[in-house]
Amino acid sequence: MSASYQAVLWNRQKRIYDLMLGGFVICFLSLFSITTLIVKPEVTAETLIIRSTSTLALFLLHVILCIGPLARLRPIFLPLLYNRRHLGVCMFFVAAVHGIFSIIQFHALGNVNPILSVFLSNTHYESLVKFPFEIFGIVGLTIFFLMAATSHDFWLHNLTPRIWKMFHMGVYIAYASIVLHVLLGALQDEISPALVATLALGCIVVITLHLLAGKRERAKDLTSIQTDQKFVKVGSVHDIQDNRAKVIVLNGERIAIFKYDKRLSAISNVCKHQNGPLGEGKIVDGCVTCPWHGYQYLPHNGSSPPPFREKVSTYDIKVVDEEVWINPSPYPEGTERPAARINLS
Amino acid sequence: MIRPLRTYHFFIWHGLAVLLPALFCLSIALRPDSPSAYRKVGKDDFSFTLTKLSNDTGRLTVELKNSLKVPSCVVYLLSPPQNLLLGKIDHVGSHHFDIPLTTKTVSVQLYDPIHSIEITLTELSYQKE
Repeated sequence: MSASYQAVLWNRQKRIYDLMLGGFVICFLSLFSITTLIVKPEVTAETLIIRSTSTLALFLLHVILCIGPLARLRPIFLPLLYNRRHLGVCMFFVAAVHGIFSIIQFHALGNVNPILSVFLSNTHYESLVKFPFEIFGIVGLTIFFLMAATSHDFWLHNLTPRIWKMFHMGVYIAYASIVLHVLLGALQDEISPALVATLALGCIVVITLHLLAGKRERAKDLTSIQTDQKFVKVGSVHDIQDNRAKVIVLNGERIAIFKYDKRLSAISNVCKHQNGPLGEGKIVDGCVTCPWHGYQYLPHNGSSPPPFREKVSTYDIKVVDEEVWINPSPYPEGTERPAARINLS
Repeated sequence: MIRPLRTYHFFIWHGLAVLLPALFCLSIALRPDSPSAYRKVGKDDFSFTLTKLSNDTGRLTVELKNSLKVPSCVVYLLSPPQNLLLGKIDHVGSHHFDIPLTTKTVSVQLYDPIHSIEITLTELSYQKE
C-alpha cells in the first residue's frame, strides 16, 4: 500500500518471497544442467541454456496460473499470491533468455534477419504438426513482456483495475500459445512419453483448478438475492466471526459484512487495488485488510486510512433481534455510515 | 474480482478446457515421426550377412535397402560388458565392418544416437566365405 509510486515497495515478506524464488531458480537450473550433463554429456552450452530456461519458464508459468485458483479454493495459498507479480516478471526474464538464445542458435547464422527468419524459415501454415511453432512462442513471450512492463501499480492505477485485470487475463492466451509452442515444437522431436505425460498433467492441473474455482465463484453469484426492498434480512449476527466478514450477494453485487468491537459494518467486497475479495480478509488494527496485498479500509466509511486514497462503497446496515438487515443500495465510495450495534440478549 | 471479469474468466477457461486437450491429442496423434514409426524402419530396410574371413576375423555386411528415415544410424557389436562401435550407415547400399571373431554368434544393434532409440537388434551366425 502506498501513497506514491516506487519501483518496488520492499518489505520483509517480499524479500523472503524473492529470496526463495531466486534460490529456487538457481537450484532448478543447476539440477537440470547437472542431470543433462550426466545423461547426455555431448550436449552443448547453448542447448543446455535453451532447454533449462524453457523448462523452468514452463514450470513457473504453471505455478503462476495455479496460485490464483488455489488461493480462491484454499486460503493457505494466499501468501503465494502476495508477490505473484515478481514471480511473473521472473518467469518472463527466464522465457526471454530461452527466446533470445533460440533465435541466436537457430536463426542467426543465415543471411536473413533472425527475427524475419523465425517467420519465414518454415511456412507450413496449412499443417498442424508442421506449423511454425516458434510463432506461438513469440506470441506468448510478447504477452509476457507486455504484462511484465505494465505490472507496476502505476499502470494499475492509470489503466483502472478493471482494464488492467482484463489486459492481464491475456496470460490465458499466452498459456495456450506456450502449450502449442511446446506441443508442436519440442514434443514433435522428443519421443519420451514422460515429457508428453508431464505437459498433459500440467495442463490438466491448471485447467481443473480454474474450472473448480470458477464453479465455486459462479455458485456464489447464483445465491444473489434480487430485491427492491429497502432492507433485506441476510442472516444472524452469530453467523459472523469476530474481526471477520460474511459475504452476501444482493442484486448481483457482493457485500462484505464485518463484525468488530460488537458492531457491524457493510462495505463492497471488491478491493480497489486488484479487485481482491475484502470479505475474505480480516480486521487488522481496526481496518478491513485485503487478503491479497494488504490494502486497508476503515469499515465504517470504506476509506483507506490517510494518507492513502482508496475508497469503496458502503451500505446501511441494522440489527433487529440479532438478525442482520442490509440496504442493497450502495452509498458513494467513502461515504461514512453508522455501524450497527450488536446487543446480545 | 468483479462480476464481468468472473464471467470472462469462466468462459475463457471452459473454452481452453475444450480447445487445449483437443489440440494436445491431435498434435501427438499426428506426429509424423512417432516412436513406433522409428521402430518400423528396422527389419525391412536392412539385411545382414556375417562371414568368417580368417580364424580371428569376421566381416559384417549391412545392406541398407531404402533411404534412412532416421537422422543417424550407427552400428554396434554387442559384446558385454563393452559394446563395440563399428561405424555408421549413411547411404543406400552395402556397408562392411571387420569384427573380431570370438563367439559363434553375434548381436548387432542399429542405433539412432540423436533420438537415443534402438532401430533394430539382430542375432547373427557366421556363414562360410
